[in-house]
Amino acid sequence: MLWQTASGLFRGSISWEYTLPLAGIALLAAGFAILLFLQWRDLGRRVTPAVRWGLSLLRGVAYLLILGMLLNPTLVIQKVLRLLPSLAVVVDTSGSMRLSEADGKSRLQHVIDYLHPDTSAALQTLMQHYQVKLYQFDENVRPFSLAALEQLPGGGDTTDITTSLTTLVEENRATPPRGVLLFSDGAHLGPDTGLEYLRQAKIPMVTVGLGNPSTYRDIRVASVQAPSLTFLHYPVDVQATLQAWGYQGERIPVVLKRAGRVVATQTVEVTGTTPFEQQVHFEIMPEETGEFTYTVSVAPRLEEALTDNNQRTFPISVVRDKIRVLLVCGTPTWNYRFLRLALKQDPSVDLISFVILRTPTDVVNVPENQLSLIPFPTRRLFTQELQNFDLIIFENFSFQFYFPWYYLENVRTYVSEGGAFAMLGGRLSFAQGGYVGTPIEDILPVTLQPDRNDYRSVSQRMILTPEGKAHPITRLSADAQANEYLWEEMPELDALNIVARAKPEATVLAVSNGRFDGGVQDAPLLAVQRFGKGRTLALMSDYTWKWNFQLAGQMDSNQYYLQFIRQLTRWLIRDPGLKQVRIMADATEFSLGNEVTGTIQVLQDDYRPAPNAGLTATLETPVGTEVPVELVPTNNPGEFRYRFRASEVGLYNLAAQATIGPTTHEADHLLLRVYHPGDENQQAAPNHAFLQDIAEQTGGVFFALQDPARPTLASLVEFFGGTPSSKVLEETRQRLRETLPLFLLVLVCLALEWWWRRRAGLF
Amino acid sequence: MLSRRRFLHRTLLWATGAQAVLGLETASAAVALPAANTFILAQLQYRGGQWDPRPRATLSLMREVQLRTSVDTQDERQILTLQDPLLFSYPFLYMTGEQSFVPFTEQELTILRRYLLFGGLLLIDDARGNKGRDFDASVRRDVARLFPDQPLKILPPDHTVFRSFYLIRTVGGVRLVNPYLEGVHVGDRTPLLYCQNGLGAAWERDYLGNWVSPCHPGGEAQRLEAFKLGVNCVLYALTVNYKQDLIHIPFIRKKLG
Repeated sequence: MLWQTASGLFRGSISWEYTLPLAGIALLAAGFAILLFLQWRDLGRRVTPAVRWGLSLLRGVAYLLILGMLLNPTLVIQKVLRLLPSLAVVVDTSGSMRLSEADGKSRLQHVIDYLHPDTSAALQTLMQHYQVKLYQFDENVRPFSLAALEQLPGGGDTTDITTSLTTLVEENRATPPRGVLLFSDGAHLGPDTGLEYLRQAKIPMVTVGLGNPSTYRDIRVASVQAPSLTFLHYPVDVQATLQAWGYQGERIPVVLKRAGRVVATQTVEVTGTTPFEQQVHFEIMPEETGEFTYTVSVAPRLEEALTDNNQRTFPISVVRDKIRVLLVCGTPTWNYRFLRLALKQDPSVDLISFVILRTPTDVVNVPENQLSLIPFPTRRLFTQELQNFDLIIFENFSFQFYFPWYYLENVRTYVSEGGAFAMLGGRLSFAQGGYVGTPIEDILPVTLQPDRNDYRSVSQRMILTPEGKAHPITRLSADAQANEYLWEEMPELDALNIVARAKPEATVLAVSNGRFDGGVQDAPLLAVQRFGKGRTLALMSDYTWKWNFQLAGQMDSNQYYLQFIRQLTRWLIRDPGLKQVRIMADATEFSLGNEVTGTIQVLQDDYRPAPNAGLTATLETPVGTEVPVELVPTNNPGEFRYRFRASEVGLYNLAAQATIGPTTHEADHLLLRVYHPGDENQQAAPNHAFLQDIAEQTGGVFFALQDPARPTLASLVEFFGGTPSSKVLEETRQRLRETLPLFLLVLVCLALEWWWRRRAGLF
Repeated sequence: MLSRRRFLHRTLLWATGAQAVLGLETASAAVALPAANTFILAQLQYRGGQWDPRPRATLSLMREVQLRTSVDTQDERQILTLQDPLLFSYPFLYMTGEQSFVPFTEQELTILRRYLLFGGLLLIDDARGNKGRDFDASVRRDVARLFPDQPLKILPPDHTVFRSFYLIRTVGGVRLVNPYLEGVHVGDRTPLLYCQNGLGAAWERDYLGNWVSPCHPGGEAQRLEAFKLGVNCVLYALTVNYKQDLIHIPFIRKKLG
């Protein structure tokens, strides 16, 4: 029995707490019944029926009361708290829920209108039968109060329905809800796992779908697969995945752009069922090295729900697969032989070499067809093919007998536009090779002897200058002392081309320790310089082969020669690892809205930090606008920090250029990727099928909120079921046989019977 | 027009010839620094046997190379042993003999192996041509010790040494013991070449400029092939697989028919 008072809800009940055996009480009851019968029979002959009934009744009540007392009735009064079964109402507040429907209201607003007490009785009705717990979720689930319902923000970065529901079930494991009422558009972007767990949890889930899959329209570039690194002149396959909701029968152009210029276009016809998906292939052939930004995009169409997902940007770095070297040699010597072997052994070098095996003055003793000689294709090489090489080496080669002077102009142009050139010594090099006053002398880091008699056979050693000790070409060991020692151990060179001097803008890496006629000392032996966008090198000896073969005889190793050639090659072609301006980022990618930070280093020609470098940097945003970027010098010489806020998704192109005195270094640039932390702006198609699946797996039902035939609230309550439970707060127990009224009642019955017997004259 | 270099060279030749008539002999002495990065042939002196049966053979060869090719050579050879500290200053080594010789020591083999692996070339010329005996037996014995895993093999007709200057189809010499050349391959090079046909004997002139030995059975044509092979060996040493570069192949194929 329940009753409500001002102090709470109470429940009363009788409990029988007998201590005698029930069999004994039953025996006693049987005895009382026999006695009562005997009395009844006895009174039948002596009194009127009314008196008989009265007396028997009184006796019977007394016997019952005695039996009752023996059964020890206890009055239990409990103060209880009434508990309603719980129901979880879960609302999707991810970004896709902010999309507007046909009526102009967002999906989330529809949910708010359905639940808000001011606009609907749904929540109130549910609260009468259930203890409603409100939750919101996007990438994770968390509770919210009714007061916050109207201000639910929406806009979460992603939608993870199964993980959120699994977390909710786990957290309520001790007191599982009666059911879950889930409001979502079903645009699940989380993992596919979790449904089995929900099924085994045996909590029915009623899923309510928002949005309309049949009227949803969107085109999305879902993904792009392309290598981030490729090689020059190698075809690259770019594969884009296009998805479409709606637009059946329409032909959609898909465009591949590079830095805003259209590279290729494919057209896709939307067929079949929604969502439509198709792979789109592009093939591109990089024609220049560098880092490039490509975009696959589709123009926005009418009534498209999202346009942010109509394009994807990706970077491709194009590098040389091989360094193409043209080596022209005037006569086969050991210097050619070991240089050729060193270049051939380098797997990243593609060597094309031409060696003059016979000069016009050599005497031929067989017909031409018995000689393996081939024509020297000077015209093709020096008028058409120069740009195809990364490095041109003239090794003991005089051009005079083989091609006209103006071909050397082409070499100068080639270098000024970014090519690399090296001249190695010999009897046919430098002044003796006829290069005085030619475009080759212009690009060399040395000025030649005008008298053309520059070749000296003299034993000498190469001595590194201070610049040479740190330069990447002549740095054979990271340890400065070890490096000096190595060079001191190098075999002597047996000849030198004497030059007039090194040019002012050149860097002399090594000099000869020989003394020559005319009092020439410290003759330059190895010098480098930048010319235009390119680099040149002069090595004034044809005996460097001894650093290979002779050193191998001494040390059983020719590694230092090979290393020297390798470093010489890399420096000349401006290997990225040897850049003098280096941009580095603090991370490989940055989240939208965060700061993008990093460091820029500037090195001198000798690769020591440049303390007085002037640095300018420009930043190109993903949409192509240029904005300034602040550079702050650090305490380290030649080092700067940059920082900017990533306000757009895509690739930022940061370029830096350094100046030291009158010299301008080549710029470096770096592509910095900024990504959106979530996927909600990429995929927002309602997925009611997924919601139906959840309902089926959990024993629930699904309906669309906008469905006019949606279930009523009463049917929802009936579906979820459940009965209120109560919780005992306080309890008091009273044994009735210990109370006076019951005892008095027994006495009254017996006394009344005695008085009536007396009155009836039975005594 | 004759260049200054050629004029000086030919003058020298004449002077040498004049010296020969006058009975003056050019001494094979330690070499002073040459005027340019010239090719100097080194000849191996070894123990036992007869290491120098044809003293003037290499002179003829050097002159032939100088005459026909763009390579500047030095007439005088450099005589070296395997223990000579100057060995690694001369990447081309010529070895000849007629008789069996004392086996190389292990240290000598180590040095020679290093010499060949790091870019040197050894041309072995059997001056007698007795197969399986004498010099040939000693050569095969020591080559097997030098490269146990790389035996002497017959060079295929398209080997680079047959194309490095002349297109050679036959192997010459003072006699035709073998119509082929043998060699030891290491990687894509053949740093050791072996000919049993007596190349030196075919090259050798006396002081009057006459051929010392007639070539049988092919006569002067066979001698020419010997010179061509000698020139090719020098060019092969200097250019290695240059003639295997792709650009040469169509031309060579066309010339070979």
